[in-house]
Parts: sequence; structure tokens; C-alpha cells
Amino acid sequence: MSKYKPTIGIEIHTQLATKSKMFCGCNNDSRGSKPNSNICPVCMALPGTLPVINKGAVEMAIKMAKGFNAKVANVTSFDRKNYFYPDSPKGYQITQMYEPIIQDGFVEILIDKEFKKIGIHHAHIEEDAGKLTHPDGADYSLVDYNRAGTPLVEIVSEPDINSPEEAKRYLQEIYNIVTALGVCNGDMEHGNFKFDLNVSVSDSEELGTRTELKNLNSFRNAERALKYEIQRQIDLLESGEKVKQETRGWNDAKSKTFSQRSKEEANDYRYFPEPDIPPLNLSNDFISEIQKEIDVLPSTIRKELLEIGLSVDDQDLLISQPKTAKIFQDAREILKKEKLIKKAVNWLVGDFQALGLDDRKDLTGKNLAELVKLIDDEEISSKIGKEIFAEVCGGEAPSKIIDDRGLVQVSDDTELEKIITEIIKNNPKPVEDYRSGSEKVLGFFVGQVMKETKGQANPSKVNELVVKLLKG
Amino acid sequence: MMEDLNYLTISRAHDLLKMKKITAQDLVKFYIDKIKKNNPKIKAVITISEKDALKKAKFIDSKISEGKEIGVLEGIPYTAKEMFMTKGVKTTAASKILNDYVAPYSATSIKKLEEHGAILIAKVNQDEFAHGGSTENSGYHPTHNPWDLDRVPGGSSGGSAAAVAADFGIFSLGTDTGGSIRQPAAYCGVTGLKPSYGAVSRYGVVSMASSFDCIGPIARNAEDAQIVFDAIKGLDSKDSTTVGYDFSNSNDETNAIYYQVGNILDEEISKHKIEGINIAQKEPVEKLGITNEALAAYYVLVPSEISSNLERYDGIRYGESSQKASNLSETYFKTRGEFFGTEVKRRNLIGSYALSAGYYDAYYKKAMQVRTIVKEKVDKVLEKYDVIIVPTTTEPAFKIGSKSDPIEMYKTDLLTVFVNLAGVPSVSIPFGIDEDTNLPLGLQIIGKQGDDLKILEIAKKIQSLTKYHERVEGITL
Amino acid sequence: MNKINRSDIEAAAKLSRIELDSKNINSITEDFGSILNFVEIIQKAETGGVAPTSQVTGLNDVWRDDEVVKSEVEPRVLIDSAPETLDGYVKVKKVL
Repeated sequence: MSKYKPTIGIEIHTQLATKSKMFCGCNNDSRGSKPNSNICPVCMALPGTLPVINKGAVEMAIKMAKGFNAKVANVTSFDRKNYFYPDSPKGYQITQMYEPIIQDGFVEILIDKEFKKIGIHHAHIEEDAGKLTHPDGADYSLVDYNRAGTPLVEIVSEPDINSPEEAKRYLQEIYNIVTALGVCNGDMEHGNFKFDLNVSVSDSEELGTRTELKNLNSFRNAERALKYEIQRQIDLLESGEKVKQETRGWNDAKSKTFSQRSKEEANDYRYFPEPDIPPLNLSNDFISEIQKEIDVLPSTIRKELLEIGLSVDDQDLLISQPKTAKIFQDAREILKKEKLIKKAVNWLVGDFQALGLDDRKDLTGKNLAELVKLIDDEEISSKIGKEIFAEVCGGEAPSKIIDDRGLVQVSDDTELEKIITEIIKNNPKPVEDYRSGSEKVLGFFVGQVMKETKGQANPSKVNELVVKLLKG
Repeated sequence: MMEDLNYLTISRAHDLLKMKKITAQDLVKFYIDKIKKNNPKIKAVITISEKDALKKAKFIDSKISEGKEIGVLEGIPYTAKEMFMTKGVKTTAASKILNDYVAPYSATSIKKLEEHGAILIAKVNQDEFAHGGSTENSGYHPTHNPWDLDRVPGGSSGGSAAAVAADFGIFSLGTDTGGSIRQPAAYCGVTGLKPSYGAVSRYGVVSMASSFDCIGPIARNAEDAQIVFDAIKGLDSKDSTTVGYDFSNSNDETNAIYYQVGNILDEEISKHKIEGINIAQKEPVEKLGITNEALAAYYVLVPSEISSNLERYDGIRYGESSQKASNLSETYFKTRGEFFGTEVKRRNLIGSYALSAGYYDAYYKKAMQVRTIVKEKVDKVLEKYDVIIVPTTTEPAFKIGSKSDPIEMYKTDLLTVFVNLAGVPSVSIPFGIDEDTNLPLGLQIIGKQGDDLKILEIAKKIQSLTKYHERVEGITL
Repeated sequence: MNKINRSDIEAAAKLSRIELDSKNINSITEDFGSILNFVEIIQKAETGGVAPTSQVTGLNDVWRDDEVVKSEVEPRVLIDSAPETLDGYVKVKKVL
């Protein structure tokens, strides 16, 4: 590692998964809609129109606060950020400059098997802008206002991040939290989760000049862009040059950052309190009532998975699938014993993942726990378990499946002895081999028994009896 | 027609309709004819909505002829300031930037009046975006005071006040951000109500300064103002700043404090003893100690809100767009440079300046703090007294073109803006006649937030005694 | 006294996106100075510890439930009012 230490702060824009927009009743989901079809006088900023807060968005922000171990401001208010741009219908964005709703939180990211706290300075509610497109070669741009007024929560981290890897893990952690809470759909291709990265390097305690990498929307690119930018800044400093404070973009094709706007060109946004919207006065009762609805947070699940020794990759996998994590949680409640919980997790990170989303959508924690127990109690073999797993994921209870089909494991000595005796009788050659010292034919006999019982025989039992009868 | 239809009040017109002495169509035609005849002199009206008005009148007439009951506002012709969105009828805010703009929806107050059966006959002039106190700043033409055509009708709702004084309809809707209903009402000898902030929905009315703007009637008398206020007031789910005031009104003896301004109206005030109203205290207005501070704070806060509220007029989604723009930046600069008038530009610049980095604390924040002080003082006086009585203006209507200095113009709001800073209701009624000019003067009755009906009751009592509101002989038409 | 010069006015005009001709700038510069002097009185007010007032309603928590409500105006009509449109988009000069 070089003598330069990077310092990174991140601003994340998460689109909230509300039904309607932030300040009007327009549909908030315009995927597949025609341009300018989800608009109304309010989000088009017609003269005389006024904003009305979407309570659902406030509730989602309150849930987020819990996920970020943060405080919900009891008194929170909205402000105007003034700037002219064709995608900003009012000429200002309604945001929260002075009293953001979420204040003073943190998340923990796992770096080298240690948890590191990343502070969240604050997070605030604001509205998204419309979408601009620039047809190739044309001397015009086109505006679609469907997205104008979509509720966003912007999450502003403390500059606690010191490497591209930490940045990536922080982004993933936030992503996991907001999707687990159901407050963001997490559709990154549709811009549900975008971020700006502030980065500087320094070889002393004093922070270096920072640049801002704007508008990234993939974890991988965040990591790559940061790696590039950190090296670029180090190279500048090493060659005696200065880093210029500016906004830079990421060119994916060229794998490079490039200058977009210098600090001198920065806008004066003339923030002031939004006079059209009275402040919010959120009581602690109101806040806890909303936060009560939260099941389990990703951070809690991660700690549980870590405890049972699951690999980081598998942790990530489970946490990134809120529904799967919920199945895990429910199964864990029932199974209690670590050995069994691990088995449940193995199903979830293994066979479960191989199924299509639609095919696995009906698995419940209860059924998974039942399956694990049936195998552990040797009621069924693990082979049968695998065979019926798809059906269990389709919503059937394992006990019902094995009852219906008579798949209960055969452990009855008399029955098994009868079968084994028959096999010995019909296979004199292997019997002779065994008796003359070849242990490996044992497998042949066990296989034959399993074949005969269609896998329902208890394998260790079979082993024991085969040996006994062969020696007989 | 046997009946004299000149200067009808709402209740008189209602009686005539009910008794079938006239039809609603007669009424509409009467006013529209009058507008056509006299508007060239007054220039209060921008757009006449004749066809639609007659259609509505016809519907109400058929209701009456079928023997159905009609409400007090049914068939009553009125006008509205250009600030009000009126679906299908041009709405310009008297700005060239909204030249020919036809709103696709109507303001809540307009819808409510429509539900009550009132008939919009015309849209009336104002200062552009309500920036002014004389209607000289209209993007189209100045309006003339019906009492003296060389004088301004006041502003910014000058078209509304002039229309009522000139009898172009029975009442008019105006907006009041710093006196824009009361000052023109005083200049034109009519009654104007600025309700408590939030009593009437602002939805569908062009925003000037959101935390100040109030919607209210300009009418022949306080009784009419009350009828209109009753129809338009109330919570609106589309305006988060509407307040569900409890408008109950007690008929107890009223204790008032009267603030003198020089000797204007002094004699008039002492002349009339009004039953039930006790002027407990008389003091020079300076003793209130806030009018100058209020005016200064107002001219920081209001331009700031204006600079933000007018950002949507950018030539992109509606309204005029400069034909001279050759790139996007010029679309903004040239559109707003070409189509905004001087005063609108001036206020935008002051607002942007006061909100800009480095000045916010010294101007905007400081002015918000002064607003707190003003509001506390007003509220404190109103704890002790039921109402504050004070002249509406320091002088009668001035001559067109006589106040070219913006500061001189701003000062005409001296006695009205503190009311908007505090958000309390105030009604201006005609009171006395200026001896030198023979022009009407106005008196404000200011009450506690939510005491709108109380101040209207007091105004009614005063009007039943003084009859100043019935004086129309000075009107030169 | 507030010293306001041309560049202050030009900066404010730039923030406001308003093109001013030189005649405009001169007269507005003059007015601007006197307006700032006029509002200077607020600087004398004793405001230590005074909370700023940005609204006078005393209201809190005014919101609506998260429900989709159909626009009172057809989206098509909202776009048709734009000076320039193309295929259902609002068309503007190229954004750089």
C-alpha cells in the first residue's frame, strides 16, 4: 500500500417504492410507460399548483432510519433548492437542507472479518427530476417528466471510507438495508439506486483536495472508478501537481474518469424554507409505531450468519435477497440448534438458488425447517429430501409430500434384513469376494439395497446390516 | 327592464332573481354591456367570458323557472383577477410571459364559486404577477380609477377594485400579499377582505409569495364580502397551508384600539359612535412600532419567495418562449428578459440576491426573525384588544405616473403589510372622503387569526351606520 | 450605505436567468442600492435568540395517503401547451 490514504464520502440516491409521487398523486412507477404519461398539473409545475407530502414516503424514511441506526428528527422540514434545468419543472427542487428527517446514524461493513462502522451524517427526502435524452447528432434534447417528483432519500455518509473495497461494501450494505426494508425496489438499471463518490488522497492527517465522481449506478463501477481516481490523484501529487476540486464522470468503456465541471462553475442554489409545506412534527410514538413493522435488519442477519460460520459470499447472497433472508429467519426460529440452522442455510444458498424465482417463491421457513428436521431425524434420506425440495419450494409441506407418496425412510431391521438376504442370495460372486477380504464390494451391496428401496432405506442402517449378514 | 340594476348587492340581485323580476341572463348581459361600454375608459377588464357566462345563466334561469330554490350566489356575475386559473378562459397574471395562456384547470376558489352558481363574466387587470400597488405594472395597460380617470385604482388587484367600483359585476376575487386587496379597495371606495392566512385555498392561483398570499373578495359592502368568503373558505387537500379555522363569532362588545395616521380619518372616527364597538384606546401608529420594520422585512422576504416562485416561467413547458434564443441558456435568459416587465425583473433580482450565498443570513434569515417580532407584537396587541383599527392607506389614490421611484410605490403598503407578516385578517371599508381630492379613503379592521367573521360583523355594523359604501356619485362614468 | 455595483446586478441577473440590456442594468443598479438601503432597517432589529418565521399557520404534518390519483388534466394536454414537442416529449435546445 502506498503512503497515501484515500478518504471517501458517498451520497446515495435511493428511489422510494411508494405507489404515488412525492408531492402529487401520479403513479410512481413509470417502467414501460410512454413518455410524459404519468404527469399532472402539480409535477408539471403549472401556475398555481402546490405540493402535498406523500405520507408513505415519510414512513419509508422513518423505516430507513432504523436500518441506519439513526435518529428520526422530531421536527423536520422541507426547503427549496433553486436551479434552472429543463428536467426541473418548478425551477427548484423540494429537498431538506436544514432539518433532514434522518440524522446521525451508522452502518457496519465487514472488512477482513472485522466490522467497521461507517457513519451516516444524515439522509433526507427530496424529489427526483425528469429524464433528459440527447438523440445522437441532434441539436435538441428531449424531456420526459414521468420521473419528475419521484420520492428519493439521499443518504450522505461521513468520510469514513478508506478504500474502494470499503466503498463497495458500504454501497452493498445500504442497498441490502433499503431493499430488505422494502422501501426501495433496488432496480439499479432503472436508476433506483445511484450514487456520487467524493474522494481525496493525502499522505498526512490533513485531507487532500477532493473530486466528486457523479452518477454511478453499479457497485463494480464504483470500485473501479475509485481505484482509477485514487491512482490518478496519487500520480498527480507524486509528479508535484495539484488535484483540482471538480466534478468528474466515469467512462465505463474507457475505464477512466473525466472532468465535467470545475468548482468555479458550481451553482448557488439559494436554499430557503419551502413556504408551501408546513413542517413535520413526528412524535416518538408515531415513529416507533412505524418502526415496529420492521421484521429483521440485514445487519442482524449478517451477525447470525457470521456466528454459524457462513462464508462472506454466502452471507452477501442471503442478505441481498430479503425474501430468502426472511425464510432463513423463520426457519432459524423453529430449528434453534446451530447444526440444523446451518443445514437450512445450505439449502438456501444451494439448491434453492438453482430454482427460478417463480418456482421458489412459495418456500416458507416453516417448511424448510420441517424438511431439515425430517432428514435429521432420519425420517427421510437426504436423497429424498433433494427430490422433493422443488415441491417444497412450490409451497407443499414436506410431511404431506412424503405421506402422500409413502416416502418414509425404511429403518425397520426385519424388512431390511429380508431385502439384504435376498440380494446376498442372488449375488454369490461379490459375497465370495467380500469374504475373501475385499471390503470395497460393500458399496455394491449398499447400492443394491438403496435401489431396491427406491432410496428410502436409511443408509447407515443398511451398512450395518449388510456387514452383519455378510459375516453371518 | 323596470328595475334599476346599477350597483346591485348580492342579496338584492338574489331577491330580484328569486322574485323573477330579472333573469340571470339579463344580469349577465347588463354587466357585459356595461363592460363593453365603459371598459375603454377604465381598462379594468382583460378578457370577457360572454358565451360561457350566458350558458351558465341560462341554466340557472331554467332552474328558477322550474320553481327550484336557488342559493344566494346562484346567477351572481363576478370578475376575477388574472392570477386565478380559470379553465378555458385566458389567465395571464397580466404578464406577457403568459400571453394567451389558457389554464387546463380552475383554482379551488373559482371551482367553489362555480359550485355555488356564481357566474364568472370577466378576468381583470392587475400589476404583472401582482408586483405593484397601482396596476401600472400590468404587462398590458394601466387601469384607471373610476373616481378619477387620471388616477390609479391601486394594486395589485386594481382591476378587481376598479371593476367593482365601475359596476362591472357584483364582486371580484383578488389576491393580497401585502395589501393588494385592501389598498385598491380603499382607493376605489369599495370593500376588500384579506382573510386570515390559510383561510382560503391558494390552489390554482399564481403564487407570488407563498407564505403571504391570501385570496379574498372585493365587493360592494361587507355583507357581500362575507357571502363570498363563506363560499370560498375552508380546508383544501390540494393546499397544505389551508387552516381549518373555527370561524364562530361572538356578538359581544368589541374593544378596539385605533391607530392614528396623521390626522387622516380622525374626525370621521370621532364623529361616529357605533353601538357595540368601543374604541378603548387611540394611539399614533408609530406606537405600534413595527410598520417600518414590517415593510423592510416584507421587501426582503417577498422578493425572495417571488424569485423562486417565478422560476417555472422558463419558456419550456408553457407560456411564451423567446424566438431569439439560439441555445438552451438563451432560452432562459432571453425568454425571461423579453417577457418579464421591469418591476418583475427587479424583484427577481432582489430576491436572488437576498437568498444567495453570503447574504442569506444578513437578509433572508434576519427578515424572517423580524417577521417573528412583528407577528408577536401584532398578536400581543390583539390579545388586549379584539381588533386593531387603522386607515388602509396614508393618502387617497395617486395620479398615474406620479410614483416612478419604486420605494415611493413600496411605501403605499406601509399600513397593510404588517398584517400579512402576521397572517391576521383585515377588512378595508370605505370610510370618509378626502377633502382635497374628493376621493374615497379606507379604514382597516384587523382581527386575530381566524376572526374573519368578527371583523366582517364589525364592518357591517359600521357600514349600516356610515353608508360610505353606498356613495357612488363621485364615480365619473 | 450599500455599495451596489454593476457586477452585483449582473450576478443576480445570472442567478435569475434574466437578460438585461445596459439601460436596464443602469436603472436597476440604482434602484437596487436604494432598495437595499430601504430594507437596511431590519439590520437594526434586535433579533438575538429570535426564531425565524417562515410560515404563520402553526400547522404540522399536513400530508396525503400514498395513493395514485388520476390527473385532473389529461397528460397529453399538459404536453401540448409546451412551445416545442416531439413524439410526446418536450423538446428543448440541446443540453450541453
